Amino acid sequence: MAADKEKVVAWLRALATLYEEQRTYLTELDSPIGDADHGANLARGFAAVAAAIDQNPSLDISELLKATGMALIKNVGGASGPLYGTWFLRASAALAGCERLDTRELAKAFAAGTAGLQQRGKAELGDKTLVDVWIVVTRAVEESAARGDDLATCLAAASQVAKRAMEATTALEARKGRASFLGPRSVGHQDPGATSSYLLIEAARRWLS
Amino acid sequence: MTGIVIVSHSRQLARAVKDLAEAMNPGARLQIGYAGGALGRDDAFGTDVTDVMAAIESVYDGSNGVLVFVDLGSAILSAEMAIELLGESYAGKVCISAAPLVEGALGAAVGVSGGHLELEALLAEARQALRPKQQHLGEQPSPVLKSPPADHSRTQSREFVLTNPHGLHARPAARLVRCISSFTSECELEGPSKGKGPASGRSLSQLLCLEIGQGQRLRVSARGDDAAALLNAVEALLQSDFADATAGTLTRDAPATARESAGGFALAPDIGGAPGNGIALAPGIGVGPACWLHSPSLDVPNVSSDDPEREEQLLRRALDDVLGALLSGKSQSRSARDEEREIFAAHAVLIRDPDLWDAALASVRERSLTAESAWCERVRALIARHEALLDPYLRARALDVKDVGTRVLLALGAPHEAPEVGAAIAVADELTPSDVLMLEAQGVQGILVAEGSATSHATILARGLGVPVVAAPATVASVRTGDWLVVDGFSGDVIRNPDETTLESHRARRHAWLDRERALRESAQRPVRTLDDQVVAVLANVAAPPDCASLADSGADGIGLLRTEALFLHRRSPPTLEDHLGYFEAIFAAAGELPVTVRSFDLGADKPAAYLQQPHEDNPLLGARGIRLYERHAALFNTQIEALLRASNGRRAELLLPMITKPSELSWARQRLLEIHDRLEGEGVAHRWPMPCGVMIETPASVLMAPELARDAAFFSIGTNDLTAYVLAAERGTGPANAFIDPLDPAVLRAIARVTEAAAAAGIPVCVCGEMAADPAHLPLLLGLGVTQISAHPGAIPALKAKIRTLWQGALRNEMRALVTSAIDAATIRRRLAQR
Repeated sequence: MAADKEKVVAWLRALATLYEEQRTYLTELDSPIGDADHGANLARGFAAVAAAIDQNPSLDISELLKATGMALIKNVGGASGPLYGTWFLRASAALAGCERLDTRELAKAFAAGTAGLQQRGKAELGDKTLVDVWIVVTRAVEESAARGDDLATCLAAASQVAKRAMEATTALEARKGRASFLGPRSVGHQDPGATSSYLLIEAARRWLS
Repeated sequence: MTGIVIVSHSRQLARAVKDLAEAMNPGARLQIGYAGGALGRDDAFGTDVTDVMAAIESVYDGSNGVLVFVDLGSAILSAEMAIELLGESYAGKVCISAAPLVEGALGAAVGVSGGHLELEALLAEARQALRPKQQHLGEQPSPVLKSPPADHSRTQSREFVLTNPHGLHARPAARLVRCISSFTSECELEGPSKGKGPASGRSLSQLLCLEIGQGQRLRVSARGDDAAALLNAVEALLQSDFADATAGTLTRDAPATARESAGGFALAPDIGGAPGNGIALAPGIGVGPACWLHSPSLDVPNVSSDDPEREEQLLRRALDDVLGALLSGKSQSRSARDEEREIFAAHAVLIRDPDLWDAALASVRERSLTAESAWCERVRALIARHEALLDPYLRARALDVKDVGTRVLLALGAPHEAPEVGAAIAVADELTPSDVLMLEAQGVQGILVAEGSATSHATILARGLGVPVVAAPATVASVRTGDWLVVDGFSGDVIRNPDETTLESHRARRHAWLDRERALRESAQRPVRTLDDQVVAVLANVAAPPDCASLADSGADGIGLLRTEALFLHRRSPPTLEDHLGYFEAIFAAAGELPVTVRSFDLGADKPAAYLQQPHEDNPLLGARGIRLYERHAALFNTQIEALLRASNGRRAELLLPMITKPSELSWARQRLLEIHDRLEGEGVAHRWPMPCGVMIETPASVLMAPELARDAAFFSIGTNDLTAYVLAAERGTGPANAFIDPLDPAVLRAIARVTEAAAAAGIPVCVCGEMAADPAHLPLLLGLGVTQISAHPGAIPALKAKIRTLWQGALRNEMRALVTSAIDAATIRRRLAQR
């Protein structure tokens, strides 16, 4: 089963609700090692995304993702704005003209989005950033696409891998971003960016499949 | 006109920087835009990509480009993204500067208002923006050191604050170089506190030029496959304050406050006494005829050679010879101490410094200089660089460069008559560590120098060797060889040609001083017993002959762990039988009557040796190390055993096998021993037989097999460092697993208890030789569990002996067994030990 435009809209709207719900949790994660603004930033950013979607009901999948990216870079404020913004803009470019999102299209979007993330943040796997989640998830999605899985199977695998990658950031020492100023003291804290990324992917599993 | 955009998390700050830049360039028509704050509000901090895009668009004139200054974090990302989103028409026209926000923006504004500078030139201008401030504050701008445009995407950096006294001076720096050089990654260091660097992590001289003092920051960047491991290792080293006993004792001798005194000398406050006409550097009384000491001149003019190949060969040989002597300890005194070993280890690093070694060889090859002139040119340059340093402590390191330089010059065959000073007072302008050793070996009575400092390596050595040293520039000038001198290293007094009565009274003082020193040393020698009269042998961990000198001072009852790996590292080919014989003979000579436990080479894991050509292992700690290497390198093992059997003839020695997991390994080794014994017997070569053969307990397997191992083993030696790591499945170092490393974990202690039980049943002794044994607080536990010997670094021995004298072993036995079998965490055990 592939996801149509309506499902993508549902996913993006759900993200606004989800990040509002998780605002306190994300901010708590961000307090010891960051600026304590990750929850507020994402809640604000995705609220703007929901508003942008409501105002433009005729957008296709690619255009929806582009509007999402633009809303994020305009409204998030912190580093996650340009990062998530880049992800959505690159994913949008990869899906130009796409009408139904199947596993192969999803893999294209993830590959382009994650490449953009890495280019933007200059982070690598193991730096204790959201890139830790996106690299392994993208690999999982690409493998799933190569196996010919349907979208539900693919996203289930993606979400599972994302959760593990998110949890794995706890033991790492941050090498990028604000948390890297703490050096070894960043160990023992789950990365807030990795957490919001997992939430985004888990929501995709729920709403796209 | 080129536009300027300021991007900050704070809208007010961005605007203020713009205002400031304009105010400082009155009359200039500047195009400055700014972006900052989230949501376009003054009170929300953050950055907004669209805001940055708009700012860039507002100042772009369509041809001259835009320079963007950013504060940090998301400002950089937002600016990059803005440029990307602006698209093709802006490609190559907008640049982000890494310059500091205010300085960079002002610098660029000045550049723009001054005329039509290209974007590139403006960027370069901005890059220099910190320099005036640095110069004004006395922080030199980065010395011109090669810094290739780094590939930042793969560079990992960490910043540290140096906490050790004196900061990054020669010996810690040498350790740092050694540490860094054991990795393959590129590594650069910077001193952000003074804006110095980058310096290559492999160059001691470059590191020293960073002049990073105590409390200052050190930034370490590494790029390569093992960059993370490198940074971890550096961090561990820095966190330990480069600590071992040596660094502590050395720096305690000369606190920072003692360094700055008039005339460039330093008073050693612990020496005390009334100030005389000189400055006391090393305590003691010297009486004797003066003898001037001249070192060969390094002022060799540049001479071309017609055979560069031969010159290169000559230089290489001389360098190898000197390096070999430094590493093998040949250049050290008979009674060398830890500090002496450290100093010459630092020299061994110094000589390999690319600015000396590589640069001199390059001069021979490329400029056809003779070996001598090429070498001296590099040495003089490096001395000059040290002498230009501000820190008097680091400046004193010029003498170390001179020392290494002179050694190589002599090895090249420079004509020089070794002075015969004998039992006299040596007089010199300045003194190198090698001078002190040479003089001490000749029985010098005292040393008078024109220049010296309490923290120079020569002074430190003299203090350790008990040679009085006084610095007295005014007096030195008038002293002629043959004058009679009294040198008082307590007061700093120097008396030239005293009358016979004065001379006699100072001779008497000298004898009294020597007697007192001897009495102090002897009191440390008593054997140690617990309150209930159990003898506990307290032994020393030793790696090389120079370590043995402190044996006598420390009161060690023997060598409990001779780490023979020292002989294998830092060389290109494996040690020969002769190398081994020389090494063992030096050890046994130093140990005298004391017993020596020789551990056969434990290479692999963290101690690789290139010539063993080990295949790559993902996890060398679980790979071929210790005895697992012996079958493949049987010749090497046989060589070591033959040398041990021969050199220990008539001595007290036993063999310890590392990394045993199976009883069959012990049988295999014993079989080899027997074969070598038979062969030597057949050849009529005198050797020690039988050779008691013990087993290192450091793996869970050896713990579980201890009863079987105890049947054939003459003794057990527990290596608690590795045992802790293997029992708890956690790597030592600074990685995440480091939190699991705790030798007081009950799992580790229960393992030790099993081993002592098996040993007691078999009636063999058990030694603990890991770091755990060096802490007196652990003694109740170890003795209570039935450990009968302790082996630690020599510096720890006096404290260990003092603690043992206060313990009642019989009472400890039940208490500690009960504790270890009931406790479920290290905290409980630690608490109980603290309560004692």
